[in-house]
Amino acid sequence: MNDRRAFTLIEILISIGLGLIIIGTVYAGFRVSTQAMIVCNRMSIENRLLTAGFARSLQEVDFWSNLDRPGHTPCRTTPTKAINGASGGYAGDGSDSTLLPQPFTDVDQSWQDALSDNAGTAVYDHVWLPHDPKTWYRGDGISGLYGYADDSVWGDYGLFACATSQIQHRGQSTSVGIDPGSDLHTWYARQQKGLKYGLGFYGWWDYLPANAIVNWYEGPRPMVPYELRDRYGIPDAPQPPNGAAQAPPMLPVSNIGRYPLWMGGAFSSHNDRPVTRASFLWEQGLGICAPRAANGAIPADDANEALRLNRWVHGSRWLHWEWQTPWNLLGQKLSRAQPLLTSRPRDWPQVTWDVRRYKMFSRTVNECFVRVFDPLTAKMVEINFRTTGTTLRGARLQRVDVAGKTLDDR
Amino acid sequence: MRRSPSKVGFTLIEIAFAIAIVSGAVLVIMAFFPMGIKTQTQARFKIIAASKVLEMMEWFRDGSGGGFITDGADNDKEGIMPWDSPMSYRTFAPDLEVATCNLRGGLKPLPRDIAYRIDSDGDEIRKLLDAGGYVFYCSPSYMTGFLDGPLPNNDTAWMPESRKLLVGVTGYPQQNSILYHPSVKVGPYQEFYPSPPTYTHETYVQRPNTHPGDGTWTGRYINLDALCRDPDIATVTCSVSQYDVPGSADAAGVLQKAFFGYKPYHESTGIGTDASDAGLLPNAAAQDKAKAASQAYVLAAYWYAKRAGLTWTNLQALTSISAIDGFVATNHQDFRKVLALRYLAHALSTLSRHYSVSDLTAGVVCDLNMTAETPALTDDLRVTLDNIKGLHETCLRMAIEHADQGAYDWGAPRPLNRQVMMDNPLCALDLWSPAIKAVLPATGSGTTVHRQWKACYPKAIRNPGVPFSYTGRIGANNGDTDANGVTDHRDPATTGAWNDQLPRNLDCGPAGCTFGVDPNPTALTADRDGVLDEKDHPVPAGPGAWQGAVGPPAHCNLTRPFEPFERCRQVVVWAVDWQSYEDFETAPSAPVDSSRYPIVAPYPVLTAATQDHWSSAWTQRAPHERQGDCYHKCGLMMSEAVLNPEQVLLFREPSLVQLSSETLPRSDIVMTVADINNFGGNYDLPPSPGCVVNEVNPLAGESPEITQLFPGTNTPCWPASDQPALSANRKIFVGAYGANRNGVPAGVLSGVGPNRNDPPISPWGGEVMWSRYYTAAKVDGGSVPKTVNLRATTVCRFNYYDGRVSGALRN
Repeated sequence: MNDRRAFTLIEILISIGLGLIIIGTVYAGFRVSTQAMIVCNRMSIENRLLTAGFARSLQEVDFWSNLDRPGHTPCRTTPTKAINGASGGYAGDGSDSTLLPQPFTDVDQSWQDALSDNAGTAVYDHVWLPHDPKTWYRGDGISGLYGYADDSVWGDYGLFACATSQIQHRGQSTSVGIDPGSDLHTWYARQQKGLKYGLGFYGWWDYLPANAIVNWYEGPRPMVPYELRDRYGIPDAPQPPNGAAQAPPMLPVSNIGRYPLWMGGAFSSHNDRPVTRASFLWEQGLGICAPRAANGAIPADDANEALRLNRWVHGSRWLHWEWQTPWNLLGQKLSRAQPLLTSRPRDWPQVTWDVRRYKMFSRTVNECFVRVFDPLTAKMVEINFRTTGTTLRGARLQRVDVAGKTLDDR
Repeated sequence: MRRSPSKVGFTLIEIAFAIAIVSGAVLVIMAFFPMGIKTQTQARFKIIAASKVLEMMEWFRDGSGGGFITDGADNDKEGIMPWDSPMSYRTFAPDLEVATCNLRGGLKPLPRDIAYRIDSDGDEIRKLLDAGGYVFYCSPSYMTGFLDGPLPNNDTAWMPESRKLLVGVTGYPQQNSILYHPSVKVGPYQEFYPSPPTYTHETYVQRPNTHPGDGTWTGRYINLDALCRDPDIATVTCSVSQYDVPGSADAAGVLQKAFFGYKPYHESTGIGTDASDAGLLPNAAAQDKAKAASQAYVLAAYWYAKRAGLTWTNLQALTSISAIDGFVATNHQDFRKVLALRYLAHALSTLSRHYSVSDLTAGVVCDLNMTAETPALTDDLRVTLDNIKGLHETCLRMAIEHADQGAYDWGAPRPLNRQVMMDNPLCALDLWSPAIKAVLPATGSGTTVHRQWKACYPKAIRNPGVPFSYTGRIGANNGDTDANGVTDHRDPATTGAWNDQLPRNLDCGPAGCTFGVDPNPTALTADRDGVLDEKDHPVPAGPGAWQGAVGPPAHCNLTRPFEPFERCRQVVVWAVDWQSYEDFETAPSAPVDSSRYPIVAPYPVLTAATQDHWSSAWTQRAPHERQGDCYHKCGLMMSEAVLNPEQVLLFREPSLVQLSSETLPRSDIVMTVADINNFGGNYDLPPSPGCVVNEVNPLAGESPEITQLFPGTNTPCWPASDQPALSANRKIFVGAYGANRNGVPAGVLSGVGPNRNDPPISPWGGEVMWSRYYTAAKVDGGSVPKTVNLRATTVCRFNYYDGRVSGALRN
């Protein structure tokens, strides 16, 4: 007799069911694991790029390389009327960017022309030692200069602090030497003037020690004080919106020499006469920013990403002047995002880094942004932080040529 | 032979079990794959944590408020009782968590209600909170990074992982330095060299005007240097002697008289009467007058130089650098000589305005006589251009030599011409001496005992002088009782409120401060030994009683060596989704240090003519007056004070919903305190006689005075709707209504005033005040109830060294 054994239907159904359950579970697990692997890989890529962007930002903070223009000649070697003329200030739309010095301009290409006054040329000296008498301010710090410099009843302070080596006293027809053979009465002024012309506004302010007094005289006549307000066209107050009438200012804010001397002034320098770079920066904001034409485009002459310095925000401490638009403007102007990778797989996230340098409230701020844009999800995320970094002086001293000389030694 | 069927193959059950075991193993292995996501998430947390801790370090050492180097327009620093000055408060300590607790930074204190619900390894968070510390959350940084900038308009870019991070500082803070003593004097002060004697104008309600050229003389001219350093300086400012003004003869041929000194010279030039250049010395008569006044100024300054022991013979020899070097080396120790050169060099420079080079080369003779002074001055000075230049240089060098001896001789101010950190004395709280204490109010039934540590310096203070805040001549009424245009020690004392008060002559001995201005505070006595130390008792202890302010130098340990482990602390970063709590935006702010609220040190009010001691009547002005004083006398605005760290994010009165249209309020949109400069004191007073309403709704919380009351009443100007006795502004200041903690703004509003687009009018001058911008935000909430505890995972730890003194790494 044939004794065949086979599976019953129930057994087969049960086994099939079990198999399907197992297959389904494995499939789900496999699917989850592969998705997890994909997400994990994606996050790993993003994290590495974020880390790279983070590191790149920190590197930029110390080396200032995005302000460099290798192979490009300095924008300006001689002050022009557009900067030093009657109108004062930099052009509002960046059209003067080709006339401006840059943070890494070689000193020997801009310094001496700025200071030549037919009485010999000045030597750049980036060493400011507090015990060295020539680093002490000798101008008239106690009284206002605005409007009175050439006829100040407090005396002819050009005798003690002047960028030129000769001055012409009031009512005289000839010039006299200030202090032949001595740097005491000219060094301070010349350093400041040279830094300003040689490195641009921001570079000048970065170079200055925090206790540097921002003021000097220029001769021979009229004996004009270097007045930041006039030079940079800073109005007394920001213009109100909507064409409303300009309000009369209250007490002048942060104009050199115009602060009243009163009790508070006895306690802190900036409260009565804004003098030091640090105290002046309590009121104002400075930043390095990219130029933009009126329509927002980068001007053609900045195809190599030239920079325009001096975006000055006139911020006031008075509540009714604080209408914040200047801060927005400065923030926008400071942005110069750079891509981290020049080439990458198309599905990789696009990472940009951005370092915004500005000085505000007596702080030097390096604000870093690292942004990651995911082309697969169209989402952008960023980390934003501020950190301390090398000064412009330090960055310049790192640029050593084949002869072993830095930008500041040449 | 056939095998038994029971010995062939596997049964179904066996196969099923085997497959199940294999499947289980495979699934367990596959379950590890998602762990990779967690690992990557942790890695991302670490990247963000590293950036945030970098930022903490930058806040710590950048010199901004928090690290507290530049404290802006000075909130009043000099108090009488140490608790009146905020300097010794926690908020000014140079500790990392204090610096992090910063209005301008990207880390804010997490509300305590929420923080206590978060579990952590070893209960570290709870222990930190129990010790009085803060846990910080990451807040989206301001769009511009500036203090007063607007919040980000687009929050989608801000990394969501950042929202989950919490930061804390573990380990105990150590004793640090304080920037200045809270109840004696800030320090030696600072001035330019050369300069005239330091003075001030004081008016009660507005900032004073002063030279050069900004308006007219207003208020009383208070000669600070004379009142606080050396009374002889009064003569430099304005003498008793007079001279005949050339070219001033009247119809009868009688010449006008003028005083010697700086102030008469200034007035002779016309500065203050005409702001334009054309108004200065427009004709020969004016020029002659100013020329003579310039000589008179020189002589007044020389009179003081002689009092300080200098003679024209040795001064006029200082025309070369070598001579100056030799002179300076032996003379800087006498602060009077330093001051004398400061004034004399300033006076001599004025001659260069009125005389030609040839005149000065030949020499200008100053030969007016000061016969009414004691002693009289009849010397003739021949001043040359070389003298002017030489003494200018000598003045500067003497000042810097004096400063280089250290910051513990307060006789002469430190030169602003060269500012270095050594200009400021080291100071620390003295934890080993009995604390300063007083019962307040001192009279009547006062029972509250206030205490604060003394402070100490590494060296005793020489020539402490009198603090500028308490010269003994400040008040609302005229202190210039001899009507010579200057308030100084020569004015006879008067009685009555605000006319005369105790000057705080710090070097007073055990007897304490004496009533009335001492005509000769520089003369040494048994009590006054020229040094501020433990023997001096310049702080009131009660009616007729005084106590010391300064501990012995041996108690100042700032310069002693220490082991690194003694000052190392740790920054810990955790990750937890705390924003999933239902109340993450409505929970009140973490406790705010009360010293963050700007307030001036008190002005003394003498309530009885015979009162001879400091008392509560002296030391406690009404709080809203002190806050108003803060603005008007010191120029400090709420925007510049350290404030609640969540200030810009704080919600205002939540019932005031505002967005897009006032007729269609949305219940989920609330105005925030984004425009923090709108806190400004008297501009936002409520409706009352003489005050202007700037807001559609006065409960917008713009003026967080402590207890601003309707004038003449005890009714708060801005009562809270749920607690009418409590100011709503105060509640907003402390964050009682919560804050926009995820930083998502709902929009920006503009304008203030009855019509939101109309600018308000200033109550002080009728000028138009421009529209201000406010940010509104949606009140968000998560799904996790308050009763649930969340578990935080530790992301990373950073060790750091806790500094002892305030200092900016890069300024």
